Amino acid sequence: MALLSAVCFWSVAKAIKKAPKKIKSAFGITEYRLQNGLRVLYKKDSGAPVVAVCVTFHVGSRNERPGVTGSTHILEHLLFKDSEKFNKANGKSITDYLEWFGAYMNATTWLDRTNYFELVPKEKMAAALEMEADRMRGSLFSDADLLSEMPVVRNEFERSRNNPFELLDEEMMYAIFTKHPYRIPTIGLKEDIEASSEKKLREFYDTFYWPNNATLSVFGDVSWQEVEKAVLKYFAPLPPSPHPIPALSTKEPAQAKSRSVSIKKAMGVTIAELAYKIPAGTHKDFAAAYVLTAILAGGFSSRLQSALVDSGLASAVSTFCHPLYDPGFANLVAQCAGGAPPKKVLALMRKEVASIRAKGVSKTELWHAKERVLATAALERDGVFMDIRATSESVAAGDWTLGLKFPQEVHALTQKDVQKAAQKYFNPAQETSGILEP
Amino acid sequence: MYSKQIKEKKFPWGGRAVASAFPSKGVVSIVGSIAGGSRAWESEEEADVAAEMLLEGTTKHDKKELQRMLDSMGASLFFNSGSERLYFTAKAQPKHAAKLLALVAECLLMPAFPEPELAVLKTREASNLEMESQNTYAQALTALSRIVFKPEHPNYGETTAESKKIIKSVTTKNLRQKHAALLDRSSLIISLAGDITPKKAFALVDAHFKQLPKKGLKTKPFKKASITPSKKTFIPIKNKASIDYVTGIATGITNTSPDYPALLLGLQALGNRGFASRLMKTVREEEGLTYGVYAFLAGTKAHTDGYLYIWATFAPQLYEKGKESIARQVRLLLSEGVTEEEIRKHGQLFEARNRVQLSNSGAYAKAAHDCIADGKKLSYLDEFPKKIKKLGAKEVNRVLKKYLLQSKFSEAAAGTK
Repeated sequence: MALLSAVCFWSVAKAIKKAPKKIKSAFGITEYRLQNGLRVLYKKDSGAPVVAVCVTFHVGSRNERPGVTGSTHILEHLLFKDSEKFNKANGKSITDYLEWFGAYMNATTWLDRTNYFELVPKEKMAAALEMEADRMRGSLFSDADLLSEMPVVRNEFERSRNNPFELLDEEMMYAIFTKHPYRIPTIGLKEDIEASSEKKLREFYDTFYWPNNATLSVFGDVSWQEVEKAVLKYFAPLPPSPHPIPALSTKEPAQAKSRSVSIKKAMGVTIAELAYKIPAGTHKDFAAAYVLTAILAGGFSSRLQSALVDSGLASAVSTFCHPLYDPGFANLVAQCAGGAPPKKVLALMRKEVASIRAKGVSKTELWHAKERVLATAALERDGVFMDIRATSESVAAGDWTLGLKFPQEVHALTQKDVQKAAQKYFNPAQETSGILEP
Repeated sequence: MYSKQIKEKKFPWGGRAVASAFPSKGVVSIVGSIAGGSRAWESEEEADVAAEMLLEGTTKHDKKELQRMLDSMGASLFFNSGSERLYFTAKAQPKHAAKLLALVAECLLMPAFPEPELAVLKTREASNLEMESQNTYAQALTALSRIVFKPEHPNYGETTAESKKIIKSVTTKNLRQKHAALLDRSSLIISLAGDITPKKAFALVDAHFKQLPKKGLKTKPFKKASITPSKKTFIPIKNKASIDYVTGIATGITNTSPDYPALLLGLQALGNRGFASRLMKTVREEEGLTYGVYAFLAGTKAHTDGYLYIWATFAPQLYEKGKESIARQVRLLLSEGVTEEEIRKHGQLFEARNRVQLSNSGAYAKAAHDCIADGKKLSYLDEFPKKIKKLGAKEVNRVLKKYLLQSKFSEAAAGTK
């Protein structure tokens, strides 16, 4: 009832379509806020005759409770089914409508967010906004849709079971996090996925899918006047949530000693992985932790490249260090080669980490890492589509300027900062190790 | 008009460069190639090793120095082998473009092929091949390629066991001799896009690549593929939750064939990447049998005839049902044909998607490079989408009936039944 009253009140009030309020401008992007709480990010980029649109909902698998894990991801699938204005009955289904205009469209779900995006020929910007606005509150998914979509979701789940790296990562997350929902795979637990229902999903949709829990980004060859007109027409009439968006209160307890996981499965590969707890993406130490992983396993001349790949003990090393909303993790992964025992590979990885804790990093290592961050920052924004996707990740981590400020933060780092980060975060007590072997 | 934004230059020494100041700030993307590729070598695997070894050290800088040089620029650089050419792709900040191009030229001109690095690379490759042996998609596709092509054809894939054997036999002596013999500067094509002016790009290419030798190894001849008898194969791989399934046939045509545009559009209508295809609408959306099902025209280049295939993944219990569903859709396509409206919309989709795809410097550089490498004029970048858009249902249906010979389709799948 509360929901109905709020919506009715808004219907009367919506006639007043105030211009979006300008909040701030930085790095060529301007932030606006609509009355209903929707944040809008706009950037003019005339590099190509296209426009990128992205709606980032501030809901991901971190917002799921036991029993409804996987809901964000299933909803991502169902939001491609019919909506009030875009449906098969009127010949404008969501999956077809924009694609026929040449749009590339898709959606992804992850820990902190779900994002729905399109890259469209510039003259179709308003059509993309109309569709996104309609499915934000007007999705008509039903039990029948869920029934037909379940084998699709299951097949996505099964495909991930074929990948040895994903299998180990999943077990690692259970060990790294003991309480925080980051421990549950975004795709959900099999039993929860199977027990999903329209009722549960509708409740989840009505809890989180509101304009005041979303950020709309529009980057490309289009003027603000055109964007504003479409935003006012399609998004401004949407009501804000009639309830506060539930905040996550679970905090991961501090880790006091090292943890380990081991999987014995013949998948044609032996993998050794080390992970460490790191602060949230908006924390002042995040940049130092990121550079530390770049020195350990990024680029062509990293420490682990030299110790493991160039010596033939591993065929490849990689690292993951992503800014998350809550305190997260960074990992170092080696694909063992030549029959190298994974325990030996882990020992060598630990040796390099310990060496940085004790002796720090060289000037050259830091300089190379800084150059790589600068290059990556530019490459991540090569074209409006990549630019808007990178911005969506910053939005999800809690500050849309995060990725844009990052090169400056990295530039200011000293050798001492990186060593301190190694001592504070990459220490044995906060380590989780994992092995997958036949 | 894309072609008008790209400048082209043919150097007196034979090489060609194309450049566009596509305004992606702070990035220069480089895509280049030189004659070579697996047809100039004994095998696909040997050509791949030769390409990878180019980053393992030169006579001027050892591997560690090369790695440090690349990291000091924050740049990326990779060499890989195709069937006809040796490719390189690189990206860097504009301030490092000159240094990066100099490094590419050095790797091509004076690779050291050091013995110890080859030994380590062989170990790494063996590990990668072991992992590939468990990759259901790679195993299924290789199996299909071995049914529809003869061993001498560039699209015939090597099995993991064959690749392992070849890797063992590669020697530094052979790599050195062959690489030196095939370098031909007149076959060089470099495309640069991003934050660089064409004038500067051409000056850099001229300065760094004109010293490449003018040789050129002969490539192995091969015959165009003919239709092989239909065959089915299943590769059992333990502990797999999902089966990869491919079904297809050799087309016998290159991308210069008059039938190529209509076949490309017809296959898009059947199973394009995205949701607006017959296969995705039925096999995924209506019947819920798979996460993805797509149709491809693959291995088709200017001088290499290719094949068409459909790819899908299925849960083991839905495998047979999924295959039947795909077969039903192909039958329907051939019996009913595509409609004028369907082709009009797909033509429009193709043109717009082409525009969308060329919205970053890497894709832009690659499109311009491939155009020149295929012996086409840059105007092809604008003309081809228009040509596709003009196609009618009659032409597309004629071509589909000619090449989509369903009774002769072969199948390959890999996974756990």
